[in-house]
Amino acid sequence: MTKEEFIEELETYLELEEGELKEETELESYLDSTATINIIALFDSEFDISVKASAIRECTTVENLWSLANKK
Amino acid sequence: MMLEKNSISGVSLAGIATCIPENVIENSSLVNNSFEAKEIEKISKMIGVKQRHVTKEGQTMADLSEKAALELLSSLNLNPEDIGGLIVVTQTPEVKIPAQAAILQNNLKLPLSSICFDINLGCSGYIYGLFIAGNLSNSIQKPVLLIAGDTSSKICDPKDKATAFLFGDAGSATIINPDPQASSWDFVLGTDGSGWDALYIAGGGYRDTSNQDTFFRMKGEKVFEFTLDIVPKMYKTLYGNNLEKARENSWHFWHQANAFILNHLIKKLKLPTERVPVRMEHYGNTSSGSIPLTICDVFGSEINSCSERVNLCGFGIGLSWGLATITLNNTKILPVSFL
Repeated sequence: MTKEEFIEELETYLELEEGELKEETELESYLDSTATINIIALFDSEFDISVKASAIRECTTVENLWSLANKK
Repeated sequence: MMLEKNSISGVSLAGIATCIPENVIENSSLVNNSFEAKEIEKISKMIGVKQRHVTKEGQTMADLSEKAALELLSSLNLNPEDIGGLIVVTQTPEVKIPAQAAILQNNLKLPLSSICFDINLGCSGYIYGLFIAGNLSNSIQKPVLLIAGDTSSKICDPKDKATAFLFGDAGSATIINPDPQASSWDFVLGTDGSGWDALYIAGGGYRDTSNQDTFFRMKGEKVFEFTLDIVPKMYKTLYGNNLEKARENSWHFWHQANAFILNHLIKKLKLPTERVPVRMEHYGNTSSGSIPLTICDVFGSEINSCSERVNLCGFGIGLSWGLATITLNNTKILPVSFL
């Protein structure tokens, strides 16, 4: 999966408008409990990796999330 | 984490009945100062709950379960004096002390010699109850009545979006009979208490008697992490690498936690959707009553005597978990009744 595809998937899982997220977008205003659960589901489905909510909350930007997905 | 498989033999599941309150609350009607319509719609869509059957003031899990038990005894042509044990799985008894089982023993006119006690478990409680009731029935060679039910709606904070739209109420009755000819039941059970504070009520206990928060609190992310991890592990423990066997010709009745979790797990385990009923839309999450409620909802309307292979799976409070594989053989499944 490319970074661009990842961002599109992230927008789908978070039910956001297409193009709303960029790699530098800050996550603070998006990361409520529901969004965190959706991101855990995205990592599980698309990357087959288990990620903790705490690890997601440490990500400040979309780029950080992409790095997390590729680090595992 | 190593999980273990256990088996019981010499018992069969005679019947299941479930009762829910007549009173219905639509999630869309709960617009107030705390929640706007759009937010409620988004939450309801994610959890898969439009409405819930909720007890009125003064109505308890014992009332619902008592009705289910009387209907089940009657349909099986059993008398209360035939019952050798009563196990009640609940976290919302009508009084704190004594055990709910003691009160129901009296209400149901069960024999004074019957062995009656409670189990303080929620979402995994029905599976634990089956394991203990099966062993008890085999030991005393008498039918055992398993009651599983909760009125979780009574312990939810109406201002907490994690729980305010999720929980409904239900009571159920299941009878387990000694049966030397029956196929064995396989179980995976376990607990990881390090996650106890993912689902809990802080107030009302005796560690901190000043704590007044008697609402049920849930850390949804922790519960989701736990569930994604434990459910596949339970299936792996029971089926090894032969998950195809689980996919073929068997039903999967899971604790109805929320539709998002269930649909994600169905996809992850590649189970056929038509064999894993998700029936939360009209009932919500009914805690320990959700598995029997789903079974009665699926089988109770058309098939009255049921012979099927079923996987029953519960996970949640504790954190604890249970998976059971049971072959129903002429099991009486009653339609869902109302009180």
